[in-house]
Amino acid sequence: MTINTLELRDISKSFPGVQALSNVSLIVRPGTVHAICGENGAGKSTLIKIATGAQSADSGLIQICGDLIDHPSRRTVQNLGVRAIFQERQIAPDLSVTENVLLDRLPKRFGRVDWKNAKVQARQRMDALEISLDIDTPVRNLSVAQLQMMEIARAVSLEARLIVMDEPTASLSRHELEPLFRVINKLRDGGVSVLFISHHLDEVFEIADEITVMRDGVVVSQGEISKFTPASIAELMFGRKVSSSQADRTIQGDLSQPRLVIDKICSSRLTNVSLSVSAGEIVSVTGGIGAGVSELARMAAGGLLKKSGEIFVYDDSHQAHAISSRRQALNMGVAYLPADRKRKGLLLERVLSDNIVLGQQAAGTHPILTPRKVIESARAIAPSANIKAASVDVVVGTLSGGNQQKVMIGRWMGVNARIMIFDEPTAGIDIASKFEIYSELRRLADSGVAILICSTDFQEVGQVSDRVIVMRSGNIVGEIEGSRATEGRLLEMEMSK
Amino acid sequence: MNVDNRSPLKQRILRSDGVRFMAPLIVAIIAISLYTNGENGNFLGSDNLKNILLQVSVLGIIAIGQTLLIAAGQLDLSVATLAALAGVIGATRINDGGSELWAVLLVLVICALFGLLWGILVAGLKIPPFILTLGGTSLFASIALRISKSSPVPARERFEWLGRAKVFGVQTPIWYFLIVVVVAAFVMRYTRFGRHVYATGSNEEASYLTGIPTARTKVLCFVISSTLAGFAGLVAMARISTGDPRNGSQLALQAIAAVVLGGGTLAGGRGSPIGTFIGVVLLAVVQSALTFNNVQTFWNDAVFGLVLIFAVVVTAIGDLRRRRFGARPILASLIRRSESVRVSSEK
Repeated sequence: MTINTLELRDISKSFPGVQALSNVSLIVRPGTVHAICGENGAGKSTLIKIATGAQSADSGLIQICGDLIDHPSRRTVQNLGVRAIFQERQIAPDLSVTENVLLDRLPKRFGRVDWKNAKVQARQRMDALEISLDIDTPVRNLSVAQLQMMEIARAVSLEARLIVMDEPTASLSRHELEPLFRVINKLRDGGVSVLFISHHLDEVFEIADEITVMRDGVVVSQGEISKFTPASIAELMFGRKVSSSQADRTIQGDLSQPRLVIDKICSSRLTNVSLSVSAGEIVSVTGGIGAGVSELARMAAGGLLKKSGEIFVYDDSHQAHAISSRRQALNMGVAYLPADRKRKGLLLERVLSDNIVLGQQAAGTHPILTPRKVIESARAIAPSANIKAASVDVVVGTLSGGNQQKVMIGRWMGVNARIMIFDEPTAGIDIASKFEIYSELRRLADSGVAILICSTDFQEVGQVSDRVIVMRSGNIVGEIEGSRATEGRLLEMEMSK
Repeated sequence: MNVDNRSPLKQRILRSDGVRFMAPLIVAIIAISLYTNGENGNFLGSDNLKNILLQVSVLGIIAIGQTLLIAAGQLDLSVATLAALAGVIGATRINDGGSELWAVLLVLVICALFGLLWGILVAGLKIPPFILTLGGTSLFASIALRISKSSPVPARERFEWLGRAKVFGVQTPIWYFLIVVVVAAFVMRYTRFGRHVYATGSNEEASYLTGIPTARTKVLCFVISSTLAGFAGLVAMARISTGDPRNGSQLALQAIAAVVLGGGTLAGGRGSPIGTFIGVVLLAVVQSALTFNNVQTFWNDAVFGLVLIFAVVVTAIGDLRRRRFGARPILASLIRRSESVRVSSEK
């Protein structure tokens, strides 16, 4: 009988108010690639944090190569050969590849660094994995894919027996995947095991030997990959054959006349993205992490430079205006509501009224503004955006996530925005408030606003949109009517190439 | 849903930033004045009061420019040597012939252009203003020394209207200072530009994404601040009819200190011209009081330092409390101390 590289038995973990994991067991055999799949919040990340000693479990056992770990910590787990590559890169950007690969074990000679030897060692690691990187370049100059290779090389240089990767493919484009898979195969052939999280089922089928599907903190299915199909995994992930949850809706606007047209825009992340949104319509763009939907949102609002292509906004007399800056977009009535409201949307330390009138202050032309006017327009807008606050003097940072988003919406109602672009409209908002935001979106659309939603939440886009556009690695891969956009269907569309 | 209601007036006044920052300063100014006046009767005489304002008018004008920058989340260390350079250029120009007005305009344009340069570099290339203007400080000092050949330049004309004339019995520098304060206070409170400055300083990314012209706003702040510094330098030159290249090397830090005393924070988004005015006056009153009370001059800097440290510590404690206990300023919590203790013990 062979000894398992990693064995987790009955791991449970709770955070205040949430049971993140309950009785999760998982076995990684030597020289195999094991994938963990699940929705956001299924507990995948927590599980690998526990497996790598970054977090401690409330109960359960961890065995690494047969050794029972009593008090797991990053250090003890590492010393047993488990190395993790997280999404947040762990690098020193100004040091060279050599230094980063050998980071804390640079060879020394007479108390000083033996650079010659160090380079030889770094070179050897690279060659062993057939990674071609200039070992003298500062890491700052590497691409995301190259960084990942470098991190793998570092992990292997520490005599790893198990390499844990948190969504290794999330920020890679399609053609960057192949070298990664080659390296993973190389590791497997050398007897090293790989445990990785992925959102993309086709990748899982391409590379994994075994799979664990999780949902709501429990393992719903586990076994050899050959026993599964993409469809069966999708169903397991969502726990149901996902059906339409759409209410009937009639679109109020004139669909023949688009208001926002994105024409073949390209950037470092996006390739040839085209779409259009009409007045009264809610169009969602969705995809996994790394699909580029967030970039698209910001670019459509004029807040990010594009390499080529055009963004047109049509005014009320159907005249097209090309958009090239955020300010120009604003003048054409384009509102932008970023996902990270706290950092990119709100003046957190200032009061509600200052935040609500910010759009008016940006868009208006009259040079004089009296505080009285500010208060008056804030008071006029706040109720129509359904903001629940004691008064307009409340500091915005003290409001709930849902209310903060309504402040953002209110800001744009104040300038009669004609096009509203939402990046993750309900990020960081609790479930009850989510539905309030959804009905707010619908009301805005019914009042004639063209709405573009960029969201990685499949459930959400299925619920609010008239049309859903699916992206993957910066490309549009499909479009579907909102009423047919079930989670399973979207996942299938996103997976297919 | 009672968004329509604002908080009761009393609460609003107690919570307003103005009261939060200025009330303690005003109390300090009055206390120091009364104490010194008791020891030596002339402190509150109109001559001494005018003298105090006259002494700080140059600092005050520079500090108002700095207020705009700090509110926008920026900073300019080079204003002191720029002011000295302005004085030297002004004096040299007038000695080479030409009218006073022409010399003044020329200096203001040069200073505005330097401000424009800083603004473009900071907003366009995203260079941290601290380092950039630190470089500018040395640059201006050096140019001023070169032009003046390292010695003060006596001006042929007297620039009466700029430095020494009296209007209603008050010297013109004081008037200039007051006018700058009033105009700046109006601009910051009642104009779109002023609100853009605060928005940019509070959260530049959010302001940019909302569509506020953050780059233009920052550039304008630098231009205004540098122009005001140039004007202040001319006033300083006119007061002594001499362009001194080594004049006022402390002014930049004192100006920043005054802004911070008046409620500004280097993180941006805060600071008001009126607050800065009070901060400047407090610094001047402290200085004058030390002289009146015959404290040896080497204590001046120590007292200046202590006042500044005390002010930022009190502000920081206030912010901490605000974060922990909600928007309740120190002053209000002092007034309602007994009440708040009772409330918390009930919990």
